[in-house]
This record gives sequence, structure tokens and C-alpha cells, in this order.
Amino acid sequence: MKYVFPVLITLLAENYVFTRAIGLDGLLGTSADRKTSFRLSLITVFSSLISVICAYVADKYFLSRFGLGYVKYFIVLLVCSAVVQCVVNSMKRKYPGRYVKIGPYLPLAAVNGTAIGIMAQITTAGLLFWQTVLYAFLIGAGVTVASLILGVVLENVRYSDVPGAFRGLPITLVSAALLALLFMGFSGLDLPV
Amino acid sequence: MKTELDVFIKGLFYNNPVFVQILGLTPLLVFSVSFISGLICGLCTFVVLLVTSCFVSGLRRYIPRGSRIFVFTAISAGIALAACITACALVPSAADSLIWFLPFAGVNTLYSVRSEEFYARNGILPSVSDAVGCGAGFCIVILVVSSLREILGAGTFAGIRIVSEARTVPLFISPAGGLLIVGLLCGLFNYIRTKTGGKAK
Repeated sequence: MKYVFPVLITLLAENYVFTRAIGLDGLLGTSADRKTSFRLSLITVFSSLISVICAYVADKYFLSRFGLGYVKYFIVLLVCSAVVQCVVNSMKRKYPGRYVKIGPYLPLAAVNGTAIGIMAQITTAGLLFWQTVLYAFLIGAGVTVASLILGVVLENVRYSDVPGAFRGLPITLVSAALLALLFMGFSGLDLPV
Repeated sequence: MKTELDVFIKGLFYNNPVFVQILGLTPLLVFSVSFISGLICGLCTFVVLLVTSCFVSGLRRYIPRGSRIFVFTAISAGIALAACITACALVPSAADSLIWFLPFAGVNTLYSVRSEEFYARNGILPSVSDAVGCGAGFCIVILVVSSLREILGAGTFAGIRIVSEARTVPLFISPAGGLLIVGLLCGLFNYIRTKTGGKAK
């Protein structure tokens, strides 16, 4: 139970999509197709893992020595986006067919993942390496969970009679709001002492 | 001059960054908890987008295709950093909420997607007019959303109490209420847009 509860809290009670609105852009733009959105969430998880590792190493071994304070985040952002760019380029070369399908959303998911990695690094400042990486992974998993749930909800919305002005983005936003309300119910989850 | 005006109006209304292009929702929801922080975030976004558009469209011939994510992130994050430090110096009381602006500026898809789609393919003048239109569109949306959220959720407007505390709905301060307000406003926007002749998405 010592390990299950922190995982559950990060996945449900502190789901980044619904409590901090991170990753919403990618989610709302792509949640039309469950398969595509699942692949995109995998990319988000992957790039967040890369970014958090970069951020941790850069912060621990180089940046913390100079006392940069605020500028630190800027440098970490640069390092992460450079690494993510390399991964995207090699993916483009290796799987040209698959890239065409999710291509336009790839930078979006990658940038989202970078932000998640940096946020994880800021939030868990002072923790051990594996704890930071695990935290970033769990945040990414939370985004995946949210995108799957939202995808299923929207598939049902497609067959219902939505007022004309609300078709498309508005009904997606309202469904996401109701889901966020639902996820607020988990906020009572706490570590059993 | 006519095409520039068209681009401006398109960015402001028919191609509104939030309601039509689904960009910049993360900072919109995070910073719209109170009118003041919404105002600061809107102004910062406006300035950063404007300067980014100048840089990207001016340098577009020198940016290699394979390094666009990196270069665009570097440009917009650098300008966001400068804007952030300036805003912290001007409004010291807002420094606490601004500490989150930089990570969110990195994730603000407004900069990266607009750079990729428009500024990297057009000259400086159309890019600047598009940036002014999109920035103003984002600003107006965040001002409306943040004042609604503050009045409904906390009963104050820019810190001045106008509704008694017993009549407020704290839900609207939470992200769920923010999403709800943005969704309802988006429906209203679509309604107005179809009435004025634009095609609903």
C-alpha cells in the first residue's frame, strides 16, 4: 500500500490534465480518434521522460553550481527541446509512413511532454533521480488516462443531438469540464497514516 | 494594406486562436483565476507573440527545416524570459504568479504553431499583423474569462468586492469551472460567427 497510494494520487487526484490544464491543447485537438490520441499520449510520455532526465542531469551537475535562479528554467527548456527535436527527426527518418498520419500533432505532443518533464523537475526538486523520473512517467500516464476517457466520452457525444453552435470544440470543452469535476472527487485521496 | 487588415481581422475573430484554432488553452486556464493575473498573462502573451513573429519571419530563410521545434522554442522562450523579468520588475506583487509563466510559455502552442504555420512562410508585415490580431484575440478572451471567473468564483473584480461572499460559486475558480466557462463562451462565439456569415467549424 505504501507504493500504491502515491501512484493513485498522481494518476487521479493530481491528474495534470484536469487540475493544472497541462496537455489540454494536444488532447482537445486530437481526441477525435482513440487510436491516434493513444499514440500521441505515448509520444508525450516518451518526450516527458527524455526531458525530465535532461532537466535532472543539467540541473544537478551543471546549473545548480552557478545560482542562476530564474534563467535555469530557460536553459533546461532549451536542452529538452533540442533532445526532443533530435528524437523527432530520427523518428521521421525511420517511420516515414506513420509520421504522415500523426505528423502535424507530433511537435505539439513533444512540446507538451517537455513541459511536463520540466514541471516534474520543478515540483520534485530535491528528490532522488528515480523518484523524479517515476513522477514524470506517472504524470504522462495520467495524461494517457485522461485522453482515453475523453476519447470514449466524445465517441458517445458524436451520436447525440448537440445544438448547432455547440458542435465541435464547445461540447468537447464542456465534457472535459464535467470530467474535471468528476476528477475533483478524487481530491480527498490521501496517504493512510 | 487591405490584405494586412484582412489578416488582422482573421486572427482576431474568424480564426480566433482560442476558439477556432484551439491554441494556448493551458495558460488561459491557469492564469485566468483573477482579473489581474489574466491581464498580465494576456499582455505578456501579446508582446511575446509580436516579437516572436518579427524574429521568425525575419530569420525564416536561415532556419533549417530539421531544427524548427528547437529554434522556435528557443526564440519564444527567450523572449518570454525577457518579458517575464521585465514584468516582475514592473509589478513585484505579481512575481509569484509569474514564476510559472516561463514553463507555460514553452508549452504555449500559440507561439510554436503560429510560427510553423504562418510566420515561417510569410514576410514581416503580414506576420506582424497576424501576431497583433492573434495576440489581441487571445487577450480579449483571457480578459473576459478571467473577469467572469473572478466575479462568479470569488465575488470580486480586480480585487474589489462586488458580490457578497455568500453568493459566490467557488467551483469557477477551479480548472473545471474554467473549462465550463470557456466551453460556454465558445458556443456563444460559434453562434455569433454563424450569424455574421462565417462558417462554423
